[in-house]
Amino acid sequence: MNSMQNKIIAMAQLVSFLAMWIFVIGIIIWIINLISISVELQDAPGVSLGISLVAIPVFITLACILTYAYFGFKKNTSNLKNHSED
Amino acid sequence: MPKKIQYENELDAPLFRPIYETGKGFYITVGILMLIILWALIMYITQIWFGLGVTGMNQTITWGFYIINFVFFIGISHAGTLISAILRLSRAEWRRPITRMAEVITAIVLAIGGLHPILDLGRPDRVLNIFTSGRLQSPLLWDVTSITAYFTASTVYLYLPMIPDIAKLRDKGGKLTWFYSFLSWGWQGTEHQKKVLNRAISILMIMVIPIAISVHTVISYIFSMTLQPGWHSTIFGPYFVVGAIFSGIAVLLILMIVSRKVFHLEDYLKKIHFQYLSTLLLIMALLWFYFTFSEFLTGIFGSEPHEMEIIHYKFTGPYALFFWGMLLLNFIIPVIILSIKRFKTITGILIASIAVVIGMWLERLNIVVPSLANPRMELPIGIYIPSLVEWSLFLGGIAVFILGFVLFSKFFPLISIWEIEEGREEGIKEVEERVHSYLPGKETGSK
Repeated sequence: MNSMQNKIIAMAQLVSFLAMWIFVIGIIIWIINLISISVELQDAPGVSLGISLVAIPVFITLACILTYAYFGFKKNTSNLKNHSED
Repeated sequence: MPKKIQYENELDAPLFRPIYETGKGFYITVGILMLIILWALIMYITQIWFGLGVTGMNQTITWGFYIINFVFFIGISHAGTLISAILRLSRAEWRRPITRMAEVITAIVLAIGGLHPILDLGRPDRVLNIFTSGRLQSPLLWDVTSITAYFTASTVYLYLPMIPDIAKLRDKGGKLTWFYSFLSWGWQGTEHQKKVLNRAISILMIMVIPIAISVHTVISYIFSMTLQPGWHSTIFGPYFVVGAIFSGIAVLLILMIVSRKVFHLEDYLKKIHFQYLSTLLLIMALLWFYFTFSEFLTGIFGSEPHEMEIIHYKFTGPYALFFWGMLLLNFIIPVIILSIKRFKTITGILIASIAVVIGMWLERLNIVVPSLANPRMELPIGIYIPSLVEWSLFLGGIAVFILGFVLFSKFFPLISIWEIEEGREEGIKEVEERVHSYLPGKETGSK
């Protein structure tokens, strides 16, 4: 594959990676919205908070694992490229 | 003429073959499955057009096939990520050819099961209301949250261990090089990348186990949080988890046996793998019976009139055949086959697994319908007969699952190639060291 194709693929990877974070942030915003509804309606807000305390960290941890893997792999790829150019 | 991709001389050529060679059987299978899915789609459009009146659900029995299948499909999803994570965590070496298939089942089945509550809505557009005015206090919304979390975790858990294999496919070239390059995240197989991957998988496998268990517990809450006789039970959480793992192992065994035959994977999926997994199936059959027995024993001992009505209805009512069929298929048949050595052949295991899958579907039916059929208000006892639309959508769900699995096998190896290689290169030495470290005397293994 030529360098142009490589750049397009790298860009697509970055977009998909950002989409994953948008998905996770979207879910967190949705859960916070549900908590605010329950507070506003005085409809068992404690239960909502309890559920969200479990759900939000799960999504954040998953996104962090993917971020760690994404940058971990990329870091090494760029190191390899630098070595080959030297 | 496009260059032919070389793989035949490789040690693991049988694992590449389904990707690079497409037989007539593949097109026929995909064609038949697409036809079934198309039919199901037409039936679903009919349902949207005419409303839920086209189903067998009625004023008394408001949950039917869709909720039964929802619980059933989500249950099957426990085959994958949970079993794979437990086997990885316990460093069971025999896991290597199994984990990928198990993880694929989870990802596909969760997507299908998760959509079933939408089928149950007469106005599917109203599902969007959960974004604007959902109530997090409702167990139904706990389901949405937990299934989304499990689906995300399972997809990540399927994807990350696939990256080294995707990189192998990328390096072989061909028309889909761009696709594999996109998915391989620049994997070169360096020591640093391996370290990153192993660390990510280690965190995921620990995380995935409680998520998987919580998902099916939460699914049981949509029943047990109500005060409905037959549903309001404190053991429903673990009972559902046991049932889910039970049906999940059965589906995994069926797919392993079929894939072994179709893709000629006899060298990878050996008799020993089926022996180990079927022993697990036997244990789950006994556990399932213990929970079922406990559930009915506490109900009968309490003799609460409404509870007894449901129990009598299950034992002798119009659905009694399904209740006793469930016991036969989930307990008697698998226990006989799997505990007698002579019957514990691959064919025997296949029969036991099919029995369990049907039996577990009947179990879901026995949970959902009888409680609803016996209202405590002054209403006649209900009867539920599923319509053609419901049967079609059930078949459609199964077809989507098989199609998903078939298409996956066309683009990715069904068995993790890098893990097999790792097993050959490092696994044997590592196991030897580990066994030495368990034994008394001078420690020779890793500390």
